Amino acid sequence: MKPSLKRFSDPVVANTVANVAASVVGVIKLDVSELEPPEPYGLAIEILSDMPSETILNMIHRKEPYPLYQTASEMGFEHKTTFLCDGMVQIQFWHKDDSIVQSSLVNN
Amino acid sequence: MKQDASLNFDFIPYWTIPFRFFLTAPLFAMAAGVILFVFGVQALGEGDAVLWQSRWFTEVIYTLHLITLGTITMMMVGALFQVTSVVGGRLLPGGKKVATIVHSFLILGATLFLIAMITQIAWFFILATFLLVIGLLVLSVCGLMAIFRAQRRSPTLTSMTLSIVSLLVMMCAGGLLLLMHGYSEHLGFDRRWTDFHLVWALAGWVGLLIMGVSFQVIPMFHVTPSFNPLFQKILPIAVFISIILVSLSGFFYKGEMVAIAFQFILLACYGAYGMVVWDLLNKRKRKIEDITVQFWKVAVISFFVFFILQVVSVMEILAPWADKVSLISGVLIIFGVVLSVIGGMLQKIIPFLSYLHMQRFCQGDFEKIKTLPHMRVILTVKHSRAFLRLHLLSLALLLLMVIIPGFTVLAGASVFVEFSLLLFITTRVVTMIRKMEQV
Repeated sequence: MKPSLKRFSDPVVANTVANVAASVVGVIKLDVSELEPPEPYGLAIEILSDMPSETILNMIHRKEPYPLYQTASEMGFEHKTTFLCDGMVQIQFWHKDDSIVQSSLVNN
Repeated sequence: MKQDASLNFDFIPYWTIPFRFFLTAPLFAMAAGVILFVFGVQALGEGDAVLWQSRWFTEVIYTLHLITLGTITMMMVGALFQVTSVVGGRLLPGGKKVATIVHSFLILGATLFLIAMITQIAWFFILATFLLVIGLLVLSVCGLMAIFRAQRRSPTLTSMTLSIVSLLVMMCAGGLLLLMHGYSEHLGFDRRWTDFHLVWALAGWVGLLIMGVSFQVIPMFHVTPSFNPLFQKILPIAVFISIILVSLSGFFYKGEMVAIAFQFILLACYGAYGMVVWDLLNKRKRKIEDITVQFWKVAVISFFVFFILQVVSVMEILAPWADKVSLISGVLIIFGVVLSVIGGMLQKIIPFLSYLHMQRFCQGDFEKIKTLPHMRVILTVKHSRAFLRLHLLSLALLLLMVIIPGFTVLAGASVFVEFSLLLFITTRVVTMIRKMEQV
């Protein structure tokens, strides 16, 4: 799945798009650690709005995106936040009640 | 209470609260531009050789305060309403009512300040003092209440607290000066209060608020490393203590070694801050064109030119031109440093805030959120770039104007056009938010 990201046209976003395209089925990687607000929010919403079930959005950010948590929750997504050792934050989003994703996360 | 530097977007004031201040602020700078233009035309017609000969001229005082009260303080107050909520997780008490009181008292107070200075009618000075003191007092009390009730502690909040305390001291000295202008036959006029007022206003109220906000917005908007935590903790306190020492030593021992030493300690604090800001901006991860970064760099360069001028003044190298040096220093610090930082920050804060509010109007509707304009559509690079160029032109012309008064017409025109553009940019964004709210 390739989300439409044409509104975000700078080089960093282009790399992000490449990451998304190259990711394995079921996991969408999104590195927004070098983007200024509110670009990470807009980019994540674009991906989440088209994200099929049995898929995880794996987002790398330099801080917790609180406004995104709220919007994603309102739209039926759950999230899990992990603080990485390099100071970055990994946030995983998936559809609520997606048992396959949940069991996959538990197993990992 | 949490020790946390993150921002909380659950508490954001209704969008009209900060934007009413951002919309009004350019109008006062435009008025200052018109006044400068008129002075310039008069000087050209009458061969007025006394224009820009001294900082003590009434014309200098009221033109300056149109900018410092009407534009700088107006914008800082709007930012304070916004930042206190986001950093502290607490809205300023009173909501729209308090914002309306502070906003209208500031507008009326700054306008009456101008009228009182021009007409020299004594009771206008009382009325202007009353409105400004009450408006700023209400703001200070509400701001301090919100900070003390904050959900977390951070160096930004410490810096903001010290900034508000400085505002209170500055306001008392400013009120006293206004009354001394109106009733000099009863109260006399002690010029020492002017420097006292000036230090608390620029280094305290404005400087500390900018510093505190920058601890958050530079790493956030420019994707730089964070400020050193110890530096963030110590610097605002060091600046505040220096301000106390500078203002008291300047009052009681003006021109003596002790007063000069404290003055340079304060300058060194801001010099260190300027160097750290410059260094952080050079460590940006994305080296793309960023107008705000250029504004910051103009501010840091202006500060160091100001610093050099202070050294030169102390060494009395330019003693015959002391009045001109004093006016040039004023232009550098107010237009070169403060307005550059504020103008630059607005290029980020205005589109970010408008996006944040428009996103709220979407109430979690993905399809609506996807239609939100991008930051660079909300505030175009073309407009930001034009604003920066006009700002540089205004700064250059204002500096030239002090040396060659014939440039006053051009300086006034440039200031007017610069802030007309800022008004256009802000109005365009406000229209966008209003439309989105109504959908």
